[in-house]
Amino acid sequence: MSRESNPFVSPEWLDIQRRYLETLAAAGRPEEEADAEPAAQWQRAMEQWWEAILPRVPDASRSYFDNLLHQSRSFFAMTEEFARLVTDMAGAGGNWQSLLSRRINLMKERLQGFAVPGAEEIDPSQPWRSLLESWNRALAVMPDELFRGADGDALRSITDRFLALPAAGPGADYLAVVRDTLKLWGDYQEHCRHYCRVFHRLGSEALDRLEQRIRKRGSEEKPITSLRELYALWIDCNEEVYAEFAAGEEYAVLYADLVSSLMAFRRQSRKLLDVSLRQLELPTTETVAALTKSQLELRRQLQQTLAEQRRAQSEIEALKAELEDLHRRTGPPRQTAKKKRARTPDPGRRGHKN
Amino acid sequence: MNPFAIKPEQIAEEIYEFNLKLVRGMHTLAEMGDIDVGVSSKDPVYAEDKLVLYRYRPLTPRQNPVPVLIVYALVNRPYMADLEEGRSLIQGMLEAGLDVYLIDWGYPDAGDSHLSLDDYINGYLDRCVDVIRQRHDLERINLLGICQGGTFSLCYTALYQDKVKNLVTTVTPVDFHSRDDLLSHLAGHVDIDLCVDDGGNVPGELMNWVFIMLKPYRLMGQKYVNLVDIMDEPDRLKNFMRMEKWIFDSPALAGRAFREFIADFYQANKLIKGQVIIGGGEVDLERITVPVLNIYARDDHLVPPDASRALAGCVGTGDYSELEFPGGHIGLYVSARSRRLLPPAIADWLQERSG
Repeated sequence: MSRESNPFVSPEWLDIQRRYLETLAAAGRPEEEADAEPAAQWQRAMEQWWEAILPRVPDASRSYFDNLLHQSRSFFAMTEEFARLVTDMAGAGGNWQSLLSRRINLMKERLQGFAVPGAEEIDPSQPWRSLLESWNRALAVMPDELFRGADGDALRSITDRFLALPAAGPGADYLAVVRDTLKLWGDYQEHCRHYCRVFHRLGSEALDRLEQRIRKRGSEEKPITSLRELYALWIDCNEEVYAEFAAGEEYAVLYADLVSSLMAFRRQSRKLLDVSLRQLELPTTETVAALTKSQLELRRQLQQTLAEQRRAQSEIEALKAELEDLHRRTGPPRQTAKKKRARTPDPGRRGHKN
Repeated sequence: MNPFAIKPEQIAEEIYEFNLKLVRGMHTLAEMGDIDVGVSSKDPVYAEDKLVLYRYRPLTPRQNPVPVLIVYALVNRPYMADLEEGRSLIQGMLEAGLDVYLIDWGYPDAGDSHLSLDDYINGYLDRCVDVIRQRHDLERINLLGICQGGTFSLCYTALYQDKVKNLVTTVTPVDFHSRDDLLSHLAGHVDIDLCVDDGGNVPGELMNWVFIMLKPYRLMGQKYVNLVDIMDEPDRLKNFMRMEKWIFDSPALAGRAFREFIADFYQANKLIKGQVIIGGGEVDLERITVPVLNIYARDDHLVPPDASRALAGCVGTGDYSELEFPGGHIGLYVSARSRRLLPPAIADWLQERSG
């Protein structure tokens, strides 16, 4: 795209950028450098603003801000792509159809440029970045720095770090557990990479669908009137493509493999932890699990005992009530009569005694 | 014709406006402070382990003599049914003269990982029912189940028919293999024994991810970008934040109960086959002869209508009613429309059957 056709370097843009930066400056951040790359300015301005405001954000709200910021970033990135598309097409006249195809193909090529990444290599502005981050947050079982990167070099680095862990007893058993853990970690990473590849493929298909939709709007003479509308259309296309794929067998297997491989790794990492804990003569996760299990059994027994106690209590109450009712109907209790009899001297017995 | 009617200067202006709203909105958000949830006053009446049974304070001089116990799912938190003023299902039920109890399952931790469905249904749920029966000196009470809590209520009613007067199920999965059930489709291939080992729980964050991945672009990409539009409206923004708080307030799930639920219900679809066994008791839905009101959401992407409506062919009652809510899974509890429609419908249905 020529600099002339880029709305981000137009005189209006410079004015708007100035106004925006003034707003940001008013919000408490230093001004952006004037010679920064135009395409990165929105994002960088936002990052700096975010850093400035972060200390004031309540801890409990940070995840909302993060989500909002991530999505806004991806919105800016897509908006930039769409702005190029719209600007080019404004001057295309009757040639807009081939220009549209060219532009969409370029977007697909850019998308493929991000293909098969380790988590770090995904452009932060990519829309699925937040999905992957959400996944990582959900499943983080080890410190972040140990997880970074998924390619061969990074994996070797992870291996080294694992082997450099201060093992209390670096014996054969320990190394075997470490090796198993690494293998499972590698399996999980492979599934992650596969998952990413599929998302890139779906992203490309969604762009094809977007092209069809845009053409349709042209043929129906219902033009798109804002970037937000175009963005919403793109989201719709992604969601549709994803939903169709997710309903199929391939995705179900992919999804299950991702979840299962991660959970297998989680499980194995407990074993790894247990080896060290055992060496240090500390309770292992296995021990704690056994304890919680027996504690739960005690809880169950306690509830059973309490229930039996309540049942017995209610039976006693019922019997008491029955007895009282009986007394009302039959007169004084037999026990009282016995006592009376006991107090009455028995002539026969007395006689015998004597 | 050219499919775009957007001028270059309009593009820049649009982005500028978006940014401005975002920056201003971020300030509003930062100054918003704590997000309050739960609008109706309630008192704890029974507690056991992490569970608390609450009774809501009445809002009418007279109540339906048969109380209703709300059985919530183990996923997420029950304050969703009482999220905010004017959009609370529970508030609506109280205003309609119902005497409402609710089970809060709490936040399970490692000590609860061995809890089974038997513990939840024959244990906790049954004891809560007994507490209420005893407090009101009643043989039977009303049950209202929400989502997975509805499935629990069905199992419970099948096992303890003599303790339930009427059963209301809302967005409750019954047939776990219905068409368009993406959740079930995705759960189908997961090696559940591998996923949840002995002594482990399922992290709440994982469940968040699972739910987001049902509609990832809308629930992430679209939602937060649309949020910018309401960022200068503090009331709407606060409502949004309440919902966000609820969405991401996900307790861990007790590993064993989760494993049983996924294996028996989602994967083997045993509930409609009458093959679920809980604590040695066979859950046969046909044994349910008490009146049943089954409420489902027309646009539910978590529990598709067919998954709920399958109940009609499973229960043995001659008094079965269905109610379709025009909205989604969550909208059933938090939308203004639901607030208008649902509580009176539930209250009237129960009133007719509480004599």
